[in-house]
Amino acid sequence: MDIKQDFLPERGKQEEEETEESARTIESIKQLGESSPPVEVKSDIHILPIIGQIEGHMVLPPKNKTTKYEHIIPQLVAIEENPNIKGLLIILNTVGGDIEAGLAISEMISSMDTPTVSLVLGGGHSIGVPIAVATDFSYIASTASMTIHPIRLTGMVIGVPQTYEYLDKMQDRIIKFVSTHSRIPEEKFRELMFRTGELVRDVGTVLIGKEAVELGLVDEVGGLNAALAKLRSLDKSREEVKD
Amino acid sequence: MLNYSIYPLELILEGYENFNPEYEEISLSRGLTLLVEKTESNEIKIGKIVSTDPQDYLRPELQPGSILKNDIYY
Repeated sequence: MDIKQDFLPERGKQEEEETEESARTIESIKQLGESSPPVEVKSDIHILPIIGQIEGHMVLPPKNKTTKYEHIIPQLVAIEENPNIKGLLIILNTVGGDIEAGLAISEMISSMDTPTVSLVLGGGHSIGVPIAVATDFSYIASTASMTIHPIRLTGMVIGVPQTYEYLDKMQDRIIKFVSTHSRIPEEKFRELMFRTGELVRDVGTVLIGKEAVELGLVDEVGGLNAALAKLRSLDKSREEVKD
Repeated sequence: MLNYSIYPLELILEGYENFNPEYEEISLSRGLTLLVEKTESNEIKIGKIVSTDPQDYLRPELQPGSILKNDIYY
């Protein structure tokens, strides 16, 4: 199968026709008077939706909706490098996923100079929590939820102490990241993670909207307008510091 | 791989045994390579971008998951 030959034929001619045609269209719109031709608008705020499972080293079966870290990471570099991009809005609606991929994305976001704001819509569960708090400022929709629970290996019996210690260390990495990037104290986050009686047949806590704010995990309850306004003001204060 | 998700692992990995995606590399100019997958309807779906120019990853026509257009700029 030779994809290149089948799919990448000569462009040139077709493109020429297209530009000629669009020039004619714009001209006829001008002659009609009233409406002005559409102007190409390029936004200086970029958006990064993190949805579904966060995919790391393993390609997940196609029925999963995934966000792949090998796509996200170079995009973050490109955004940081591009002087025309004044801010990055991260929209979270994730059920969690690979720990190392999630932590890698979180660390990248937290070390960016470009202003970043996260908005949790729907759900920002498990490994979505460190990503939500990694930004300069975080918002949660009033109906959105965040589940905090211990790491578990489903279907596996923890038999040897080393395995348990490994899980414990992984958990500590998440707890440390979250407590250093938000207002929630380490002990409080750990307590939420192991709380009993909140989740049916499981250990952990679900925080909805303002509960996450009251505990200091997320900065404010808000929506799209608040998130965009925050990005603008963060960019403005960054410009002022530069001058 | 260690997962931290509210979904049970069995649910995430359901159908993993029968899942064998086939990728093929096509190289466009300037060190830009795409890892693509042929769909059932014989279209070329972009799986992954391989490039050292970060701006390539922001090109809307090259976003992973999209179908490769034959008028793509390369």
